[in-house]
Amino acid sequence: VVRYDAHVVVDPNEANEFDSRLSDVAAGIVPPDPANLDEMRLAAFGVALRVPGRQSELAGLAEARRAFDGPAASGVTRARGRRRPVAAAAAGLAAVVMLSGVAAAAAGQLPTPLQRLAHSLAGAPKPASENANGAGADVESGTPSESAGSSGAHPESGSPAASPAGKPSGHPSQLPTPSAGSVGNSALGLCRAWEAPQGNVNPNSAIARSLKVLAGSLAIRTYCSGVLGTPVPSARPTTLPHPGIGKPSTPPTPGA
Amino acid sequence: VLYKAFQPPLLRYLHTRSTTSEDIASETWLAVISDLGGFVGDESAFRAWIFAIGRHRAIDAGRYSARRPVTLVGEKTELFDESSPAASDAALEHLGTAAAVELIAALPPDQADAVALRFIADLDVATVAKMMGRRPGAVRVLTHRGLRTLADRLGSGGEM
Repeated sequence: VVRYDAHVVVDPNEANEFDSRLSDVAAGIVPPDPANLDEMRLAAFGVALRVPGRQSELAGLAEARRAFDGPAASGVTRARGRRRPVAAAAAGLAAVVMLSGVAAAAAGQLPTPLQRLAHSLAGAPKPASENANGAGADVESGTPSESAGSSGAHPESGSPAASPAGKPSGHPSQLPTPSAGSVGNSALGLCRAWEAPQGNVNPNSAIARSLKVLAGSLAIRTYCSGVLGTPVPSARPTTLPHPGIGKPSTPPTPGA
Repeated sequence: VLYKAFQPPLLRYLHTRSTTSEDIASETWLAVISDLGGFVGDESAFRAWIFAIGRHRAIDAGRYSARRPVTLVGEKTELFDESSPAASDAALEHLGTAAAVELIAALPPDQADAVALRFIADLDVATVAKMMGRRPGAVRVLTHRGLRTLADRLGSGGEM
């Protein structure tokens, strides 16, 4: 009996069709059988996919470093810019906020999402009321502040598509603040990954090596205990990323 | 360090889905950097997170370009040097990364996505299944079919 769903033929003999060895060979988990040409080809194929990055693939390193050093820096450009109406609109919004809203943001006079956007883009100091509340009212209530993160973190996207996995942009706590510092903001995520109880970070992993760079002469554990012990804008526990949850945004509309 | 570790596979993965992979990769990194402070999870979750963002960005870009098709004019990138030995030899002995990525891109979309996420992004089946909205068994089958097709194409001299 063969059942059909929207995309995939569900065959009771499905398991028979799948040979895990082929995947293991391609992934480099098991060596190929020299007598099996298919395995030899797929092993070569897997090796080709896993070669270290070439210089051309790392061309955007300087920009990424700039963004990492200061996510609030709005001057970060894409490697090969592609103009989109929504990007222009978002850039216009950002410009308006940056040019005319800094003072208002500093005074805490903007609506909350714009307030956070302003803090994110212009680095305006947090208003006293929000500082006093710590995480902010919407965090206290447990209601996701949908517009806060996405509009602030991804002004050019005009959509929540940037964070479909863990929906991180929906959490206002992720926006960098002048007090926390952009590097501290980044270090926070890295340290959480390092300290995550559900997984062990390989000492040679990218996260570990990044933290080593950030920690300098300090041990990573010491550094992270300091980072994680630092008061952060939000104490709200965030959920683990769920790559399958969330759908891509709808295409930008001309009016966006 | 993060960039050096993840940018190459991210770019390769995005190249299987879009012709504007560099743009999408840049946007992905901006999103990652902006939201890194809110990330919670371990190493594998971090990897899945980055690729999920990139994947959804690519889907968005695909929808956008589908609405506004653009005819690209320029030189076609050759996967293999015409002056090189037989393509089959090249495929076996000197299979370049770009050629391997192009081979994946030439697969049916679902197979390409499954193979790319498994072997470029280095994600496990369960994670890929979540990202694709499929069952793990379906992902295994898609991957297997993709690999069989790739093996056949590599064996037939890189019919790409």
